Amino acid sequence: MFRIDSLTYCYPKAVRPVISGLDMELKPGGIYGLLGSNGAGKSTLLYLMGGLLRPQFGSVEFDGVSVWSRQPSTLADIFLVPEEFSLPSVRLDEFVRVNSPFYPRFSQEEMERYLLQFKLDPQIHLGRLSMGQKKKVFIAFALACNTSLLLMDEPTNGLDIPGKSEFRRTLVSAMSDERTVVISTHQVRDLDRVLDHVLMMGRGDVLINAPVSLIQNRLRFELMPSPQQLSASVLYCETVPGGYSVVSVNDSPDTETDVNLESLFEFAVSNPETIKRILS
Amino acid sequence: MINVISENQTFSASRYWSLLKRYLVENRKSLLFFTGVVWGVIMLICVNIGRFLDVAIELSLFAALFMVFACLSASYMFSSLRTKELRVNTLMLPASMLEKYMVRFTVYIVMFVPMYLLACVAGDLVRALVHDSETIWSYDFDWFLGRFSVMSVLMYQSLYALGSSLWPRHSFFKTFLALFGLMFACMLFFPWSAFLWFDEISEFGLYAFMVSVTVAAYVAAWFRFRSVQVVQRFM
Amino acid sequence: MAIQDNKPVYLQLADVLMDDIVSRKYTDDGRVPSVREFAADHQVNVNTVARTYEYLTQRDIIYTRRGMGYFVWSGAAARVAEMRRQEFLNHDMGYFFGIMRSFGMTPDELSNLYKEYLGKIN
Repeated sequence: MFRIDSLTYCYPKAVRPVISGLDMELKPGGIYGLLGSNGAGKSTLLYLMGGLLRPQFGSVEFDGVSVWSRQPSTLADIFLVPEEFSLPSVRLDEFVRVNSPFYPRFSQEEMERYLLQFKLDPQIHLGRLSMGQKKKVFIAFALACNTSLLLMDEPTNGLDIPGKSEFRRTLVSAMSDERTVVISTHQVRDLDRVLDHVLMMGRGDVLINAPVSLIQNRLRFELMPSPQQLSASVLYCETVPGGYSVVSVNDSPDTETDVNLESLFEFAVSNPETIKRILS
Repeated sequence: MINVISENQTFSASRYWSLLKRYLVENRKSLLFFTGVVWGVIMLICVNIGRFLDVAIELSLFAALFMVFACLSASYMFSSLRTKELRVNTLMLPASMLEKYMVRFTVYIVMFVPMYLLACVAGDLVRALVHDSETIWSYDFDWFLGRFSVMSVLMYQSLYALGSSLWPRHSFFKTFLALFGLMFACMLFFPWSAFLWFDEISEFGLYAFMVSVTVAAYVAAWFRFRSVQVVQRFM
Repeated sequence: MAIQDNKPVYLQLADVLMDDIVSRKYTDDGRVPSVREFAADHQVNVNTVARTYEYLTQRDIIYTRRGMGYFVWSGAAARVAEMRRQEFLNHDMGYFFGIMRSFGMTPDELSNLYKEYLGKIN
């Protein structure tokens, strides 16, 4: 459905490419978390996926069509919620009236439902909203457009704690087998329970592209009070409040632990070859 | 609702129409403001200085303002590219780049003309009423001069449109500097070009030149617009 | 629902649903929330809830009728109670008895405290 081959991109004034030789495939259905440290290229990858940047090398294709060609039919099936965006100073119903014709699968009924879940009044004027409210409105609209691919850059940034809750709830209830959502975030804790695929970036490449279920099957993540219980299958260990966060090979696939994305990231960045091997 | 998928991918009239409506609704504040400025300036002039105007002066004034405002209008043609947020908005909208370009052309080049003409007619009417004299429409016009003026406005306007595509921020100012610099450079390197005016070139040649420049400017603006990225290599 | 560090999320969610069954929020042969509804309510991925429901289905707590959703097995409340009993006896009891022994709590003391607790609830 979404395919990236040998992608390389370098920013205009940069010396080194931020993304280099990246290969990636996304299958339909599922919430992908695009994770990585700042500057790892997460936003860049999202922009490349949306056709907003032109790769120096390689291809980015959505259903076999290059996104850079900006075909209207391709764009009608992709929606991007950027980290910062501007909304025109008009009423919400006017905004919906002039923008929804471009998204053939837009549903007014769903829009109203999502607004309700975000506790927003449909009669609002976009020019009079706070940043958090604007985000909620835009996310509600994005979901209601029912595009096959929804890209989000730091969606929980700027949302208060109830807002983050509402966001998770709304996102999960809006998911279907035809919809793929890619969420770029460094606020891992906001979204870790909601993700079902992990895309982890580091060193200009994708270090991990795996379903959460696979990671749970192959690796164990435990919080140990003391390091004495470490066994031979330990891959990574770091001190955290409360003890030691340990990542080890899962020798007993019948019992699985939840994934600790932060520890997974630390381990993946320092052992890219190992993690690729384990998760293949 | 248009079915975006089955419509022609390069240009679709229904999509263009929806795009035009959207642009007018979302930008109505700035468009109304610009209209207000144009009408306001003309009204101000017609009311206050009206008594000193005879036909020739009034027409020249209208022509000069037409040049200024037409270029100003064209310099806003690509204002939706001036910030990263606006560029994302513009580029992600499911319409072809050609449709997006044509909408901007329609709004800032085509729709500007009737707006300005109406302002002139209204201003002249007000002048006639306030200063108790006749309107200019009762006089004959020198059509040759009129044609040449209009063509030169269109040409300069196209250059400002190109400038808008190259420098969406502070476009009018930057384009003005660029044109000034260009003319200065021409004078410097080709001093004989200053004498290359009406006498040397035929009317046809002059018009051909102006039309070519206009068309070339819009085509260049199109290529620039089409290859816009959210992170620009130069602004 | 606060996430504890030890139990995987899917088991914690199973506990939540089992609590609701024991408290009769969902009665025998009554409908429980769909996988998606439950996932949205607790803001977790549907795959996690799918595992929860699989776990509960295997233990005859809930069953599914194709296209109609998930329902409570008759007698599920009793089964949940039995599961909890077994879990306590096998896992938690030893732990608590160990703590109680360490500061010397007597069986009579324990019995009285429990009676007091039950008295307050009723």
